[in-house]
Amino acid sequence: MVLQLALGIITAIGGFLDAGAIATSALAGALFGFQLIWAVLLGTFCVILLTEMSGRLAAVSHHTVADAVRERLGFRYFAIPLVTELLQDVLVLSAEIGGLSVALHLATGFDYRIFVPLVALFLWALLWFGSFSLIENGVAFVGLIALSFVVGSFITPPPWNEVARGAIPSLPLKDSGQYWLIAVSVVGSVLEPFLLNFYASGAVEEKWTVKTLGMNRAIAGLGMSFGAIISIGIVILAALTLGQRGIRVDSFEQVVLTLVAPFGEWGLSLFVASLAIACLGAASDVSLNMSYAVSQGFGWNWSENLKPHEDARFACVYTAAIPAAALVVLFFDPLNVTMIAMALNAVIAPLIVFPLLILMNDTAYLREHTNGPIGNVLVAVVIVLACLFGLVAIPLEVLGG
Amino acid sequence: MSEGAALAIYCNVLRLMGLVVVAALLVACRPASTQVEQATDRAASWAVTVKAVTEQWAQSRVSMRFTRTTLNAAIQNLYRDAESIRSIDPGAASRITRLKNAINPVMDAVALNEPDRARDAAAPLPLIMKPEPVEANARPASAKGSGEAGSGPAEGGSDNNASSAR
Repeated sequence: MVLQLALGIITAIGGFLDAGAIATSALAGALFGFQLIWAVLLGTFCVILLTEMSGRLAAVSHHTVADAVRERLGFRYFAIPLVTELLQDVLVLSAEIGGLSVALHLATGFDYRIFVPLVALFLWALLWFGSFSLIENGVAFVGLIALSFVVGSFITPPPWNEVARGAIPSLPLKDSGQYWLIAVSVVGSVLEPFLLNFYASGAVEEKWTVKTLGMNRAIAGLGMSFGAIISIGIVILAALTLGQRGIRVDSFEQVVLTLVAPFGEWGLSLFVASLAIACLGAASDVSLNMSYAVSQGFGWNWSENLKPHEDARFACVYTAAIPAAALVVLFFDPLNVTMIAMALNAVIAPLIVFPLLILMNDTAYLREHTNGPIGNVLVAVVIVLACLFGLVAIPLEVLGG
Repeated sequence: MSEGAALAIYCNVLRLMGLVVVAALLVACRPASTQVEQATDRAASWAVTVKAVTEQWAQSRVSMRFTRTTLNAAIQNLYRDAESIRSIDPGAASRITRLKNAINPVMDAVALNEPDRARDAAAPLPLIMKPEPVEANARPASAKGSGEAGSGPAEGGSDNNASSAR
């Protein structure tokens, strides 16, 4: 039980951090110092609530979000969030493949585009030949190297009182458009809609039951909170090493400096390893989620623990999605793709979250474990916030460039 | 919650999302001044980045390969930014181009493994993108293009350095 809990927490930390979290946190720190730490906390609060709910749905009903939405609301209404989520997942997957390719570019000096097909092939092979636990636990364990951002922020100690002040939402002192855009992107990088169905699918894969509801709460709460600490570490380091010098983040090369300051010659290696592992973990999660969502929606066989010939259509989905995502990042800058994907995460969140709210109040699925009024209000607030963020994000994305 | 009510609320959420997209399309125009301002900000950031990375390389805290990768990224980004605003603000574009050209001596010094020379060449780069004094702005930015514009006090150092590096 304790081992399962520890594994779950580590996996949740691994799932939390990706190219988007690194890029948006670095940008937030570089441009606004500690002022946007509240956005990380808000996103984390939302994602804890929502992953706990999707885990509870899976543990009690043995349904994932996708198949329960299809069953409860019908295919007509399931198709809209499915198509939206698939398009968004391809964009997020592009960002992750791009991030991993950039990590290899930083390590070798070769153009990142050279690595895109190789990364895509490696990712596909990992999913084709690997099992769910190998992918999740293996990648997540190695991903703990990202804790170097937290260690780094203690080596280069910030003014902690200012960090604490950043946890309280405040209005921008300058560049309000950019401030809100980055706030949206930070929240979007934490509140990634694919996490909900992926988390529920993982719970079904690992055969969670009502007895594991406590563990579900602990994994969602502690895992995501530890993940947020890494993001806050990035914000702090970026504020101290980039922001104070006047460096903004237009390229991942600039973000490397965040770890060079505390770790010297080891900084580059630690950054490359953190970025590569975080992106690999997230890329495998997003790819699997696309297969999960489509297979569950159409009632096909699905499990990452089955051999590909046992759930051929499940394997076909990620086999098609990975090259499509690789193509996107071949033609567009990985950092730009990442920033747009993160802002759109917040925009499409209501489409994914609202059906979940309907399910969480249905006693046919949750029995006596339905949401209480507080849970409903909190999720409704999340939906309203995500809508507001969406209203702000899209025009700002265009205006802000 | 009945199924009908749930679907009605869901449809309203979808309508709201549609409005978001329409709102975005309505305001999707980007003023030229914003473009110039952003390109200039990015250039200033690259100037500081090149200086910082070169200093780190001179102290053996980052590899030569990473330093060259970063300098290449800076040159490519500056070229792209200068070209994107050349038709809107030729003066700002020239300044960015001058910054890009001033990175070449840094690149050469790094390639020759001469940390001191690289650091000296990189040190004045941020000055090139410092805001011009009011009197400098008042002058026509035509005459000799970026060279003329760069004769202001804030930019003198970089000009001298660029010519000495050449």
